[in-house]
Amino acid sequence: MRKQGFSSIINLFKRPVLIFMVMLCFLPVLNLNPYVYHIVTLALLFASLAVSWGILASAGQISAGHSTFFGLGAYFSYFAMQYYNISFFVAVFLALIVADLAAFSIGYLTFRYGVGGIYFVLCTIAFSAFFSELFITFREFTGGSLGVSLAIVERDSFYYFTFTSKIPYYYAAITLFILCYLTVSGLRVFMKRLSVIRADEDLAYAIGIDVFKYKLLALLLSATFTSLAGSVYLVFIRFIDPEGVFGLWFSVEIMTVALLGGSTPFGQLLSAFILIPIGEVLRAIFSGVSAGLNLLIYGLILALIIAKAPEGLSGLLKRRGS
Amino acid sequence: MILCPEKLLVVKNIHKRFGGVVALEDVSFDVEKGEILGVIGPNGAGKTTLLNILSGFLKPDSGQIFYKGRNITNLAPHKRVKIGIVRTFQIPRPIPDFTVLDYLVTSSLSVAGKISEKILNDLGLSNVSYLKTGELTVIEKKRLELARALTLNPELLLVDEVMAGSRPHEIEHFVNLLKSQREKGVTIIFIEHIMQAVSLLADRVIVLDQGRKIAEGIPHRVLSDISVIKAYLGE
Repeated sequence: MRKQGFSSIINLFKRPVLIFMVMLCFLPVLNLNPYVYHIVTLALLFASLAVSWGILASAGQISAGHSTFFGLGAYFSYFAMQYYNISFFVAVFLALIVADLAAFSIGYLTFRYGVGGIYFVLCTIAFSAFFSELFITFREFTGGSLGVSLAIVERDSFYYFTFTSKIPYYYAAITLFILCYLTVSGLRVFMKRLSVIRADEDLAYAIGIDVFKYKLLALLLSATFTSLAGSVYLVFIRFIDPEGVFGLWFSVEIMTVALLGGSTPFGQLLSAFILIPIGEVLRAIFSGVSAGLNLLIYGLILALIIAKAPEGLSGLLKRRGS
Repeated sequence: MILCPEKLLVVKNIHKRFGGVVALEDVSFDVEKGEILGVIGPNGAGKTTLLNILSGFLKPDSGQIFYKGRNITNLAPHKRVKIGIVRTFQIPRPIPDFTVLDYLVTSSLSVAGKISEKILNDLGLSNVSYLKTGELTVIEKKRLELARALTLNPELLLVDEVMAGSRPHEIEHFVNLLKSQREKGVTIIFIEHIMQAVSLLADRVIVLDQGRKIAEGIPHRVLSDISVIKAYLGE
């Protein structure tokens, strides 16, 4: 019985994703340069963020303020751990509740009153700007615009999930991605119904879908994983600042990875594994040469990829497949 | 208020206007359980508006709708689906990148998403079940529209011109299919322009003209009514 349950979970994986994940799990055996694991961890975090952003996008709701939930996840984990000595594993859930409350308020206000399309995009930007300013203002707790460092005295503490090695974060990021991936592929009918809402809201009503409730659930689910990624990011990087985690640029980065990836989680995974390493390597090589040169080259590479894959990497993979 | 229990649907004094245009004016009728009611009338008579009000997509300006004795005038459309009121759309609404099977699984209210082979067979969609709904022919899309509605296990089925553009043998097929639904206890209200279908299918017909109900009765009598002929052909 138990075995059957396990194999049905395995069946939720598409083969390429499963192979990819198994390979990643064994990558630490090679004992590569820690910087490699650092980049792969970042890529996995962005892949998770892109997949969770995609949950809301499936319902046709484009959020340009997903940094809101990421920032709340990161900052409230920080508050709980730093000020109240709460374990990382509890802090994650406290932060998640705050992020979901914010998501609920945003979703309730916009979806209830039928704010959609470009106006929803504006609302999400406004919310992230609001939180960014709020966290800059309360500098006694948040460090203001200078940000804060997570200062945990103990080294290698499982309680605070703080380690000298990069590997535990690496596995935390793999776990997070698998969690996102299994949720999206496990909730197949839910995701299909979100697609119906995106394609045709009247049709959605006609097949008995509570459009408001589904949009709200999509947003909550999306905010949940985004907040989790924020918590992992906090213990991984150990430094956060309001502009960095709440800022518009961060939301744009999530969107870039998600949009380049296209409509499938595998596409988004690949997208993160292409864009994040390119961004990091370019920064390492060119940022010393001239300010912004790395971003210019990054933009050119991005434009080239999009020219080759206008429907995102998912579309490219589908065309190759058929 | 005590309502006659065998009346599945009671529509009372519905008014609806769009700006200065009167779409429905004081329309009242009722439908018995297991009945097939045809709604006819010239273009712009308010038939689709009526269907939109019955399915909850529009709210009437005044008037009430009772379903199984319950006032549903302000009930949201998706909640009406849950209590068995299911509509089709006059213009089918395929989702281009969904296969027929996906489309129907998603429409099914049961979480398991089991699609009855019978519905696919009945509507001649078995052979195209793995095609994308965007690739279907116009008639197949019409059939898909009906299949979607049947997948939702309706008790009251609201059909908006599902036969338009069909060939005679296809009309016969649709008529037989809807009749077999009635055998299963489904009550049907349908809008149709093809008079052959109306007289074959309807137990009773109501005629709308410029938002008002101008006639009601058994098909062959209503269709020969002088005011109905006038409404269609003019003075």
